[in-house]
Amino acid sequence: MDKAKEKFSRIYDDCVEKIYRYVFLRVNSKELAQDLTSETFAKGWESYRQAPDNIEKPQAFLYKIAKNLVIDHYRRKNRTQTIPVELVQDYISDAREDIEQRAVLASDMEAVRKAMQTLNEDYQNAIIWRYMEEMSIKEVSHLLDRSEEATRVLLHRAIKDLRTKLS
Amino acid sequence: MNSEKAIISQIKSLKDIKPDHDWVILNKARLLGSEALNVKRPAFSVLFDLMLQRRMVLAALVMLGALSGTVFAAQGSLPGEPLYAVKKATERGMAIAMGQNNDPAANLQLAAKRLEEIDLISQKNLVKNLPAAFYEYKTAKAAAKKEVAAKVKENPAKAGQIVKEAGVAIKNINDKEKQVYGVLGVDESASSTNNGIENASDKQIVESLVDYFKKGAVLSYEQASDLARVKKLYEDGKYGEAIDVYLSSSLNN
Repeated sequence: MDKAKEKFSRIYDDCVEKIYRYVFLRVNSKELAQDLTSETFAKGWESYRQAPDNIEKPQAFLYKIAKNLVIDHYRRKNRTQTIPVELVQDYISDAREDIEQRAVLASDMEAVRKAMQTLNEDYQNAIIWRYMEEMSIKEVSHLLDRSEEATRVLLHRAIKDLRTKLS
Repeated sequence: MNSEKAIISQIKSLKDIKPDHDWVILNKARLLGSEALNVKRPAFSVLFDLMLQRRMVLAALVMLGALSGTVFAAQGSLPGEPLYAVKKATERGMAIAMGQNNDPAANLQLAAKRLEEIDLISQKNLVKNLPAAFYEYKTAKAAAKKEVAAKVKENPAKAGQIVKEAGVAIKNINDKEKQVYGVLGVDESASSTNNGIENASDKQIVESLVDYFKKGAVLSYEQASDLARVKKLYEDGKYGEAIDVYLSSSLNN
């Protein structure tokens, strides 16, 4: 196997869960999340194959592709979807095996997820990347094409907005 | 009630959202080819395997699965299907429970089973399941060869007998593989998942066999000639072929 493919294979392993999770949270459909995640990696691989040295931060590069694909999807469909609590439950890791705990967790997850859905796109992206994926302010600002200061302000507003929607 | 800290904690809980393991594997195979599956497996999959090594966890898994009927339902599943992971975990649990986890014969049986799954998928024309099925088969075959090699290494004085015992199963698998791959029009070298492990195991097996016959009893002219063929293939790095020749030669009588 050639070097580029081998390296991209590792990038895939490192990023596939994150990209899938990001897309799933944005589109609320397992099938669509799988399709858009596949497309993200297909586009990523196409670019990487042609010029691997041009892609310094593969994860950020893939997030940007995924973000644009989600935007394109909503432009095409011009719609949003909601997700039933049972579906969220299907995605909870088996690590938390206690049924009661899982039910409570699913309920919390669903509440926060639904509330996040009502936020604007930048707020959603900022919250996912900063608080769920625990990326640095610098990384988030890069993905949002904003300054670090502007990203901090955006995050503050996003959480405030989310808190209002949850209360 | 909804403090910022609590909200952030709830957001973090969304990290439990994960893609289906089978989809992750299949998608990677579709994107980069089945050989990419050998590069590195997703971390959660490795963790799952580590969990599988814990006998108690496995035993509990098997018991729980059996009680819920999931295990039974999983037995007919094929690679690429949601219950397939349960099927594999059950097989592994049973092997550990019966002390056959490192038994070459049991592992070869599993490899043969994986090969039958490819055949079944081919008959059902489930094309999308093929990359996962090839991956499972090559992994199982490599694991089986590894166990044969380990046993031969542990007992060099019994190398001939060990390979003879495993030989029938290996030959059957090889014959069936040719037949199945032929029907599918697959180039064996193209589905090279785990070939590195398999090759290293084959090398170990041939080395032990050659040593065994060097130190062993006086060989007939035919046996000496066959051994020379095996050694030549070994020197050429064709370890798999060397085993094939050995199995069909006078040395294996």
